[in-house]
Amino acid sequence: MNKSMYAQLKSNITGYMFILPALLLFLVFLVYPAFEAVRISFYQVSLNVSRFAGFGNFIALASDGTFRIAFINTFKYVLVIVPLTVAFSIFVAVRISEMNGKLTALYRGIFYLPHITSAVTISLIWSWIYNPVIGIANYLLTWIGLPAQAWLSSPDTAFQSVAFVILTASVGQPIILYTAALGGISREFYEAAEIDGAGKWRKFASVTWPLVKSTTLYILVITTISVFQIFVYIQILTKGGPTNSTTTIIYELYLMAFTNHNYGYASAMGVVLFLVVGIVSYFQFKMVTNAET
Amino acid sequence: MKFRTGDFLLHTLVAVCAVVWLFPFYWALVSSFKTEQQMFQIPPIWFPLDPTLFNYTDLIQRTNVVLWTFNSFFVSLAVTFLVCLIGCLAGYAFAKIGFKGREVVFYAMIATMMLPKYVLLVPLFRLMKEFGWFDTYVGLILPEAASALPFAVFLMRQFMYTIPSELFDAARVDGCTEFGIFARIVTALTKPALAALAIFTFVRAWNDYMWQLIIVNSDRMKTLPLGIAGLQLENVVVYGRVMAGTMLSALPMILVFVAFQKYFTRGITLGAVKG
Amino acid sequence: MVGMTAKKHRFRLLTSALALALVLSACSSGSGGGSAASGDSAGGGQTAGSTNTGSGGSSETDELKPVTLDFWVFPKWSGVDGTESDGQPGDWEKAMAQKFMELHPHVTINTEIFDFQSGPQKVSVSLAAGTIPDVLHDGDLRMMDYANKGFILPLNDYLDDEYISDFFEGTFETTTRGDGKFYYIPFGTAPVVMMVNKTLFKQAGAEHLLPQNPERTWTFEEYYNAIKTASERLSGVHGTALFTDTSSADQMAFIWIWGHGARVVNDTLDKVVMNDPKAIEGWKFWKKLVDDGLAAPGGAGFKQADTLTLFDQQKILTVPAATVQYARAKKAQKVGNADPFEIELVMMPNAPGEPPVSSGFPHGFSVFKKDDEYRQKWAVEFAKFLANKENAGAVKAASEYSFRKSQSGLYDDSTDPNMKFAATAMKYQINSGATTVGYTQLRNSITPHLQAYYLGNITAEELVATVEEEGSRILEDARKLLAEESNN
Repeated sequence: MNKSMYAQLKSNITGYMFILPALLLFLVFLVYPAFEAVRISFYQVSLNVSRFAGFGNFIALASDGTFRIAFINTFKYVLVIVPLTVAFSIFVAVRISEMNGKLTALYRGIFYLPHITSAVTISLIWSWIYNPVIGIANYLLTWIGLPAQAWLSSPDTAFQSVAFVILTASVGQPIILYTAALGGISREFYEAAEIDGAGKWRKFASVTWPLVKSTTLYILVITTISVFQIFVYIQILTKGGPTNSTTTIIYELYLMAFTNHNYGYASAMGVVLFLVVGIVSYFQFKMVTNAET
Repeated sequence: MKFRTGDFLLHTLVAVCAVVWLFPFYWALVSSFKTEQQMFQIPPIWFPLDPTLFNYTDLIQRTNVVLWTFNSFFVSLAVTFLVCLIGCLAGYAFAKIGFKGREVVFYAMIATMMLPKYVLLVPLFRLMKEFGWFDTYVGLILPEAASALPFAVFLMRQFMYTIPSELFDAARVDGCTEFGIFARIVTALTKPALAALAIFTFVRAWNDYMWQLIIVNSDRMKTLPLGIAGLQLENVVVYGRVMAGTMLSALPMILVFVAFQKYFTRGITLGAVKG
Repeated sequence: MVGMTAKKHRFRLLTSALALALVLSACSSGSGGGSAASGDSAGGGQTAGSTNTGSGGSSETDELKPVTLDFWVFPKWSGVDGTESDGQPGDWEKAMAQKFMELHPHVTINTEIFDFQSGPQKVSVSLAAGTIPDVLHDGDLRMMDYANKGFILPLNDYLDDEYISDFFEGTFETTTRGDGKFYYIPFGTAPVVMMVNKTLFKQAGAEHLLPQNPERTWTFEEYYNAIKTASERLSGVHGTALFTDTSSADQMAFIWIWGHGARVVNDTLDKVVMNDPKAIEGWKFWKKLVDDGLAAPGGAGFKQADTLTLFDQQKILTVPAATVQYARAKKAQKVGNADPFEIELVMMPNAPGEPPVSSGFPHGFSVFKKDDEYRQKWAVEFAKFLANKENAGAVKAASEYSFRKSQSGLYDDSTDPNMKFAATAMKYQINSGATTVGYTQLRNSITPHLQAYYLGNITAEELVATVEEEGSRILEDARKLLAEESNN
């Protein structure tokens, strides 16, 4: 064996040794159930009955009106929340990084709070805030003279109301990541840019943004995946209504699996979601990795 | 730092947002000291002048809340350690070791993040039955760690990319083994990322209610979120207990968060690359 | 670098310690704990030993084979008799299990308590993965769901006439799905009546508009008049609150049309019959409350629990509620969680010419089919024990009523006239149709239409037509699925 082949073999072995624990856990607890789930989607499965159905579940999905609405809603959530999350997070991260350490830490903590407080409690509280009769949102609005809103009880406003709550819970992690990443950018880059006469915006665009690309990609993919899968907020705030205006694929999936006990159909929904998220993430990777070193 | 109107306005904007973000938490905190009646009063009671400890004493005296908290702590810590360790190892390998099939395995791992976990529940349940892991710490810890791994590996890999390879090449030339490189250099340089990962994993493991519900059968093995939920009877939300329970649950996470803050300091640099 | 090594050392130490702890805990808790693991295999509880299986009726307990039963519980009250200050949901069931074990030492019962928030999901997952309990204490809706999937053992052959005759006429009929098989033993129920904030009515000088007859009945017109008069004289208070989320507590929504003589499903529980002039009349009245400002705003997004909160906070004058919810409201007042005010229970209004109606939330004990007949036999014994004459009175702890005639005087010496009154609501019980095959899917499907109607997007005629058409299809699909499944 010549030298480079030997080196390659050594790399291979080392590489796999390093990823071995991860690989084991991954195979047992993620891959196996995933295969099962996909397998089930081709069956009509209820609690104690299982019958092969081929593509039956998927065909039924295509003509399922509620699923279609859920599908569209899910995309709406992603298109609204993900860009806002990225933009807001980096904005806040840049701002608070310039403050003194303690203040930065404080702000970072505050924005992460909704993430720490369980989703259930956050939803309960917002449920109350949005209550048209005894909630604080309308109380404040009417106090300053604006008309009371329907918030969660009208299909015209429910989506936005829910989306906002999800946004508050989504920016915490990205802000932490961005501040960590920003902390790793050497001052010299900024100094160099200043010497070139760059203003605040130029500094951001030509120094900050490119150097946190790695983090941005991560945040983009993670936030997208998580928004595609939001559940608790919908369950507690609106149960998918009013008139299905806030339901998502996951919520319908959950209902299908645990209320209707129709696991086969639910798995089919899961497969569809998986494919959709996969495709979207693929494009995200392509988009951002192209400019990566 | 020069004081400019632009700066000032932007800072104010951030502060205002912070208030909105803080509010639900503040409300939960304040409510946990109110009586059930006071919770829904209009005009709202912003700050209870006669706070009551009833919600807390109710919880602590009448339930196994201390045990549940311990369980949550133990499980979340265990998951966090496992995920950080394993994730760091794997992230480094995916980023810096060129082994065959690297890309394929990585993307396969990422792909599992996209599967909605509800469809995995039944197969996982069967697995737990097979292993006899119901009502055990292992059952609570390992699958949770597994589900958190893809995120961890992804994050670590991204961060590892930003570490210039020259560092490692230099160390390799010096005769360091791969593991040596990992243990010495990598763990030091990825401190901010590891700190972030530790917090995220801890919080995620703590709050993963659905999985805990499935695994735990007995009251003694319950985690805190599970225990609190179990106090509700049908069609009733006893807000006082929920708020108090949430505060108790959030407290450890806040502590962990504060403890890890110091790893975010500026200056963990790539200074070694200068020149 | 030195500092680094020390840290690395500590890190390594910690992780090895952790790994050790993990391994140890896996070993220790794996052997003793797993109630689910021990319970679900077909011959699971029996240890090796005695060969005399046929010693039926023998009371020599050391001749009886040991058997383990899994008892899953959705508790209806906290504490053993509901009065303990530190009672937990499920205490009574655990106490009963203990008692049974003492009476029959060869039986071991593992009790698991489920919460309503996500308990049903856990049960679903467990069943789907093959973990099946022996006895279940739950509400009729879910038990019928499991019966439809073929899990439940019909109890007809196990209940002798003496046991059955103590129950009110027709009680066991409601435990069937139209097929004559009894799928559970009814234990308790909380009839739906109307809660009235009498204090506010007195304040408005309108209490004379409340029902004055001993049966406390009134017509919809009288009701409308009462809440209109009272709410106009008070500020910031609405007549009632309506909700549209019928995925739970649907009785409190549909009772508004039942009082007009309409029904959601027919008597044979196989069709939706809402497209009916009486139902249209009923829904129109319901909508009138919204349009005339008598219902608190926001109902399109409400669950039944939200309407109760408004009542507790004295933002509304009346609300349909089950007697358990009344008991809870009273308790909240007692411990200072709500400002005290006088609550009176009255019947829900009815249209002239129609009888007053009430409906309940029956719950009881069902037995799951098992291959092991010996085990199944003891499961039935335990279920019968839980619902027998002595124990049937326990439902008082939840402010509920028993189906047993021998327990019809539960509240006779109660200091609360409301509880005594509510016993009369038991005779106006109608079958809510909850045991219809496919009912869960049905009531979930009605919510969006009701919401649309509330918001004024569709008319009452469109509402009932859509619900009937879609609903009947849902029921039919459910029945078809059921038929296919039972053919397997």
